[in-house]
Amino acid sequence: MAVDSLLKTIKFTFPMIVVSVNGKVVPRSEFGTTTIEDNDEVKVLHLVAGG
Amino acid sequence: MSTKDIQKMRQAHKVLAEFDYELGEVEKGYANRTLYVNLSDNAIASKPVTQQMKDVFTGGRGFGLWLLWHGVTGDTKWNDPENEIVISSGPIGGTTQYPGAGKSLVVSISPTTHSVIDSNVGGHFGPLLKFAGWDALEIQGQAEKDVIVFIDGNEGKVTIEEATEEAVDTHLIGEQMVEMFAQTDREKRDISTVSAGSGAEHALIGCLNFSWYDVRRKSARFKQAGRGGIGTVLRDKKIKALVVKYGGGKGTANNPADRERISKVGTRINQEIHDYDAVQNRMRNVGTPYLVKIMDDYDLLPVHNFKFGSHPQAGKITGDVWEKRFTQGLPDGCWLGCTMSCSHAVDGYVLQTGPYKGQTVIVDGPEYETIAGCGSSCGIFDPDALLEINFYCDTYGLDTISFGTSTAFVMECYEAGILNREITGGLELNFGNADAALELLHQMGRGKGFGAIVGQGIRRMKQIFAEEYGGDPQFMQDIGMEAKGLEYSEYVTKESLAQQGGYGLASKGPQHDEAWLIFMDMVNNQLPTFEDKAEALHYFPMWRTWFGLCGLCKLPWNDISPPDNAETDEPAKMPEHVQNYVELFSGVTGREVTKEDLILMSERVYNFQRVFNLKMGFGTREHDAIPYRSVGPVTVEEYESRAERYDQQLQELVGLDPEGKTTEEKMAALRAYREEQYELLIDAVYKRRGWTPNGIPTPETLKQLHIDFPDVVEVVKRNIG
Repeated sequence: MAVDSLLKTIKFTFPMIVVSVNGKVVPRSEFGTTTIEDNDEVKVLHLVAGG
Repeated sequence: MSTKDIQKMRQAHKVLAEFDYELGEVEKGYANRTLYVNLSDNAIASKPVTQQMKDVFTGGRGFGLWLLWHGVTGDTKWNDPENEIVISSGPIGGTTQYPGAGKSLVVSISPTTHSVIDSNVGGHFGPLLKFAGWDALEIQGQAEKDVIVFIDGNEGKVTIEEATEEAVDTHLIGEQMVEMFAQTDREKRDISTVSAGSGAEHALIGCLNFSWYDVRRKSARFKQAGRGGIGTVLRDKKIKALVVKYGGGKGTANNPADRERISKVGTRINQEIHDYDAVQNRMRNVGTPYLVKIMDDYDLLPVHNFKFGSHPQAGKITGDVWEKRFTQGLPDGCWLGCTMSCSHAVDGYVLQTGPYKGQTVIVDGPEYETIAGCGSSCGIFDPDALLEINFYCDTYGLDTISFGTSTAFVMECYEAGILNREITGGLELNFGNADAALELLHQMGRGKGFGAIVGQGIRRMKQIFAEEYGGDPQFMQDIGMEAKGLEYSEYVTKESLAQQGGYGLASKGPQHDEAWLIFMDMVNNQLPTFEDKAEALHYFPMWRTWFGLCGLCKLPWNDISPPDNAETDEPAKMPEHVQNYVELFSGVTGREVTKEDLILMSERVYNFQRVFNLKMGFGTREHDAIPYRSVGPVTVEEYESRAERYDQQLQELVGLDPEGKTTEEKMAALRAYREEQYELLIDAVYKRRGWTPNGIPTPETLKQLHIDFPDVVEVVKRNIG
C-alpha cells in the first residue's frame, strides 16, 4: 500500500505530517509513490499546531 | 450615520481631564513609559518603565501583571474601582518585517475566576499605543457616566471625555470612533478602538474588541481579547471606548537596534509562508477553520458538550465551507506586514435576528474556537447560524468560547431534565436548536430572561441550578466544562493526559494558549512517561508564554513549517523558527539572547502569575482540579460510544477484564484509574516547575528567577505552610 493510502485509511488527515519508513523520511511529494511492505517500520509524526 | 450625527456626538462630550505629554520615539522596542488613567479621580499620569521591569518582566503580559500586582490587593473584587485593565504590546510588538507582530496582552481581575486573567488579541491598538508613546495603558477607577479615553499620539494629548450619545455595541461604536477622530479618509487607518458591548453590561463573560481599519473594505474590523470577562470589567468602569490615534510611519516606528537582522529572518519566513502555506494549513485562504475537519477526523472535536469527538454533520462546518463564504483575494492580516494573513471575513451578510435584523454587515470570522464552541459542541451545524452567533457575540462584547461552552452545558442540563421550558422561559434548549441559542444570546444582550442567567458562566450556573432547580451537584460538576471559573476552550482531552494537564494547570484557567499537546501525546505518542509529559508541560507553556511578553502571535511559529523541519532533532519545537525569534528579540532590543533565555523570561512571568493567583486566594493544588468530562466518559452513552477503546484500556492499563462487568462498573474502574493518573501527572509537573506538592513556587525558585521581591516572598511564605 502507498503511504498516502495508509494515511487515508487510518484518517490521518493532518496537513503537517511527517512519515518515515524504516527510518527514512518520505518527502510529501512521494507519498503516492512510496510503497509500504509487510514488516516495514512506519512512523508518523504530526507537527503540533492547533489552538 | 452622517457627519452631522458624529458632530452632534462629539459636541455632547464633556472633557473631564486632559493631559499633555511630550511625544518621544520608541527605542529598541520600548517607549519607556506607561500611561495611568484613573476614572474615579479623573487623574492621568505617566510612569517610567524601569530597567528592572524590562529585565524581569520583558513587556506585554509581564508589564501588565507587574502593574496590576501593585494596583490591587488580595481582596480586590473584579467590580471594585481599584481593579484595573492593563493593555500592553511588548518590545517586538509593532514590527512590520516579521509576521504576527501586532498582538496586545490584556490583564485584569476576572468576574468569573475572581483572580488574575490574561488575554491576547490582534488588531492595531497595542502597536499604535506604543508608537503614541506608551508601553502600557493602565486603567483604574470607575467613571460616574460613560466615558471615552482618547490618546492622541500625534498631538501628545490624553483626554477623558464623558460620552453619552455614542453606541455601546462594537460594530457601531467602532465606526463612530473612526469617523469622529479621523480628520481625513487617510487618517482612518491611524485609529484603533477597544470596546465591549451591551452584552458585557449584563453578563460576566464579556470580551474586548480591538479594532483596525481595513482600507480595502473601508470599515473597522475587530479581533477579540475573549477570555475571562475583561469586557465586563470595561463596561463596569463605564468605558464605552479606548481610542488611540497615531499617524506616523508605522513600518519603522518600533526603531529596532538592528533592522537588517530582523529583515533577514522576516524575509526568510515570509518566503516560507508564500511557498508552503497553500500545501500546509492554508491559513491565507481558510484560517483556523482548517482545524475543524482534522479535529473531527481525530475524534477531538467537541460535540454535545464535549461528550463526543466527532459528528456525521461536521462536514457542514469544515474549512472548505468557510473558504467559500470568506471573501478571497484580500490579504487579511490583523497587523501590518503579516503574511500569514489568517483573519477572514464574510462580507455582505444580512442579519436574520436581533436588534440589527436586516442590516448588512461584515462578520469577522468565525475562527475554529467559535465554530467548535458555538457549533459542534452545541450540536449546531448551520453556517448561517454560526455567522449570526459570531456577529452578535462580537458586537455585544461576549466571548464566543464562554458563550458556546456555557450554552452546551445548559443544553445538556436541559436534556438531562435539570431544566425545563418553565425555567428557560419557553426555550427548548436541546442540542442543535440554533434559534434557541440565538435567543439566549439576545437575552444576554438585553440582560433579561434565562439568557441573563447563562451569561453568569458555568461555575455560577452550577450553583444556581443546584440551589434553585434541584440539579445534581456531582453530575453538574462532572459535565460543567469549566476550571478555575473559566469555560474550556474547544478540544476534547479525554484521551490525552498531557492536555488534561495543559488545561488544568494553566494559570488563567483552561485556555489552550499555554499548551496544545494533544497530538504529541495522543496521536504521536511522544510523551509516554509522566516525566515526558511534565517536561512538555514545562517547555511548551513557557515557550508559548513568551509570545505574550513580546507582542507576538504564535501562529507563525507553528502553523507553517520549513520544508526540512522533519529532519531536525525536535521537530515539534520548530527549531528554525525558534532561532528566528532569538534573532528577532536580539535584533529589536539589542540584547543578545539565546533560546534558553527566552524560556527564562517566561519562567519569571509564569511563576509570578502563579504567586499572583495565590495572592488572590487561589493558586494551590485544589484549584488545579478539572471536571471529569475532560478526563473520561461521564455517562453510559459516552462509554458505550467508544466501548471497544475503553474496554481495551481497562484490560491493558488497569488490569481489569471487562467481560461480565456492567457499563457502570467499568466506568467506575476507569474513572478511578484516570483520576489517579491526573494526580500523578500534577505531582510530576509541580516537581519539574520547582513548586511544592501543593503547587506553590518555593522561595528558592523565586530567588533563582529573580522574582523574590519582598511582597512576593511574603505571599508565598504565608501560604507554604
